[in-house]
Amino acid sequence: MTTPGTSAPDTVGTPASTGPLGTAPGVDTSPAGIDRAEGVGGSAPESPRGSHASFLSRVPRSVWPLLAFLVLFGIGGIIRPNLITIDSLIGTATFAIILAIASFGQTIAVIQAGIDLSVPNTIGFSALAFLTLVGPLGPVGAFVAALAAGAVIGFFNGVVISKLGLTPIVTTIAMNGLLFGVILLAFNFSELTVTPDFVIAITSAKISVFGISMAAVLPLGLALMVVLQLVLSFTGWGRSLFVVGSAAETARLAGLPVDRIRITGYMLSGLLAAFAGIVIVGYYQQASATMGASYLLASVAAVVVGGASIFGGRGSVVGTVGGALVLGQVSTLVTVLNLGANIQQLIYGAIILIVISLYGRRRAA
Amino acid sequence: MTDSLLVATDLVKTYGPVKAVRGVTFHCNPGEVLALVGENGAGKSTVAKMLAGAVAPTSGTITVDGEPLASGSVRQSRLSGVRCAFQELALVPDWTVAENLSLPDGAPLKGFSQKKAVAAASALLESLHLSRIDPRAAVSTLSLADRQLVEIARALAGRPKLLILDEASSALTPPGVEWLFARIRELTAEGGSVIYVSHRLGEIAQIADRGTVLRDGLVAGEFVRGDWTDDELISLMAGRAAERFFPDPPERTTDAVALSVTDLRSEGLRGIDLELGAGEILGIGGLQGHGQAELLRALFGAAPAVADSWTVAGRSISRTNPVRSVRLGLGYVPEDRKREGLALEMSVGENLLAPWFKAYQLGGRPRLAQERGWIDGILKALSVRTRGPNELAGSLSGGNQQKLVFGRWMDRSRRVVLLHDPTRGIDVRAKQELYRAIVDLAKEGVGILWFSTEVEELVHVCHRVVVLYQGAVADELIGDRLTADAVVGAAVGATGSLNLTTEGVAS
Repeated sequence: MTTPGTSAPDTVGTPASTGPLGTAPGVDTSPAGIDRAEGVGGSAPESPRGSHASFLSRVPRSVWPLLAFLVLFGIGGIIRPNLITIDSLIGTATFAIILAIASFGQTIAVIQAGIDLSVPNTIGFSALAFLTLVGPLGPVGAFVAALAAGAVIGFFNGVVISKLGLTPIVTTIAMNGLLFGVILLAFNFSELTVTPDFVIAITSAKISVFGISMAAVLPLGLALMVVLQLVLSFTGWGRSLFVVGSAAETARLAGLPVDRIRITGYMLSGLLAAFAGIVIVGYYQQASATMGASYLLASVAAVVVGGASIFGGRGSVVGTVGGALVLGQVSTLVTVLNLGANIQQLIYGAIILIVISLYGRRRAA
Repeated sequence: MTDSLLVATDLVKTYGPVKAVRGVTFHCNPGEVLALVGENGAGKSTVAKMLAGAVAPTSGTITVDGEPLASGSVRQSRLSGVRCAFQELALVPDWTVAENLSLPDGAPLKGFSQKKAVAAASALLESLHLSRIDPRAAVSTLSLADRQLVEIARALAGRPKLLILDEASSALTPPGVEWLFARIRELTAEGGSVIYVSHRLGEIAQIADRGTVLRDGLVAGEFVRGDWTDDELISLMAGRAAERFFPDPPERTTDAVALSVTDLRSEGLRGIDLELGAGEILGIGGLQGHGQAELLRALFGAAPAVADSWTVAGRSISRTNPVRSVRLGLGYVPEDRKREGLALEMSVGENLLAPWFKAYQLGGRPRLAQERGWIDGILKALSVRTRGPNELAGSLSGGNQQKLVFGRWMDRSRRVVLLHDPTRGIDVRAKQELYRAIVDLAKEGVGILWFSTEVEELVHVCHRVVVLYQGAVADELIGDRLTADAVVGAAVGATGSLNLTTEGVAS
């Protein structure tokens, strides 16, 4: 990927889509020809097609958004060859990792067949609370307090959803509205200017990894991704979350503490959104009442593009990072092509619809 | 052959590399009931779906009255007088009975009148002796048996020339089956034909004029009324000599009480006294909707319930919930394996382990590796046909899925296991494997409370049977009194006498 050149999309794209077919007997044409051969190869031996299908189904879902990102990255390179640089990649990845951090909580909500539409104002609330409390509590105290606030917000979401049985979409959007009111009433915006050093140190400060200079938030986000993925894949809590998301009644009748799993899931979602708020403050060094607004659509888009099922029971934070990279690259392309920020929202919406319809078909097949 | 109503010739259906049906030929004469039997995966349902037009055959032809059936279109099929009632209910749960009944014929441009639909539905249900089903009730509020009756009623509504019943009796109780047979006889008397797909050999003996046995997507044999025995048919289906069908319950070795409850009250239960011994297999009989489902749910804590006294494994409790019940040593196999029993998108191994996840312990693959011995033991003991613990539960056949729901409670020091009709709609071999597992569990001293809609199971495999009627215990049958007639008699509220009429359904 470090080599500039317009052939990037071909070399990246073709092995994935036609790789196993390369072994099909008697096919010696161009890559396009291989694709066509598959289409008409009804009389071909069954085994290559069978292994082709099973190979595709064995590929982890989180690989697809990463491939999509590389294709988009290559397309960017075709339009502007000077975009294929390490700096450009790091720039997009940094934008994407911040979106990913804001979407990790959303991932956990979606896996348990819910959704957390209070992410935007949880981000805003925690960021503003953090800046307000740095004075009285000191940076670490304010940091802990802001995270706790996020967890409390999630706790209320979870209790209302699991104990009162309200739908997640209504509950969390009401919470989002409620938080916006609190933000406008509680904070004195004119006093919020200073960002504590330690937050800058973990976000916007430049550090060098393997000789490549990048903002600290990038390794931080990737480390968080690894930790969360381990929790989701390899702990009883993580697997229980998937059982609840996949079939809540099954989980209940198997004797799993469904309410507790739901509530802790939303608490973690709120806590991660709060962490995202602090990260955003640290990276952009500004905060406002509407600072989270753009993450409403973007966080859902990143999760869905990342391969999570909007019906629950499927998803990964690795996939979400991939989804965020795709959206980040889209955003880069929008900027390069000078299309304006409004087009970006339109494209995000279109991507959500396309991806949901694609995955929906795979689910039915 | 020319006077046959339906002729299916060399039907083949492949799904990618999988050959579901590999060449099936049969015909059905007017006024005849033709049984299609076979194990799960033999291709029965695929054949039924091809006849109904829900699935297009890969090759082969189907003619109805000499006219080729337009394949792959349910609508065309319906126009040629073919109607189908499926095991997997094809009703819209949130709609009312009336709305569901008007669904197939609802011409979308003609408009829909709630009033007319209810009137039409009442008339239809009345004519089919089902007037106790309220056309205004949402389908989701009905019992599974009633939903199945509605599904059958919908298929009967068009006075079909050919009616296909695909495991349509799987949730029905004996009087419900009698009701179905009465409708079938009405239909055949008018010259209509019925294709009857079922696992229940007793029903086939009663209703089928002829039968075709499928095995592995091919016709394994044919039979005519009165010319076969259960054992012959089973060996034909399984392709091997049949073992004895029902195992005996094991000898009781202890008088210890695993579960006891007096005056248990819950929604649908009017004060139930029950005592279940350790190692005892206690059957629960009765018509669907008389409190059996409620009893199991109440005992497991899945529905709120109170009792005067309530002990589990000697410990006195005042109420319970599923989390507590599992901790107390209970296990529960619920009614609907797909919705309540399994997480279909998760692996076989994780479905087995689902009750045993602890938030702070390992999960996922490391846990599967830790538990590999237990998982392999369960899969082997129940002969679960799967590619391994990492296969998705959703890709297993119904019988194997049911084994997973049951298997998660094996070798986990259970004191009591509650079973809700675990053998519903699964094939003969899977049934026998489950019977054996249930008996083995009882041998280890686990108390088994087993609700079954199949009377023969209760009579043969249980030590004792309690029959429920309108939410209370109608009779307790043991020893010589434990006969099929007595169970059915008590189920319809006529203790001691056999009364198999449609009033049983209407009660």
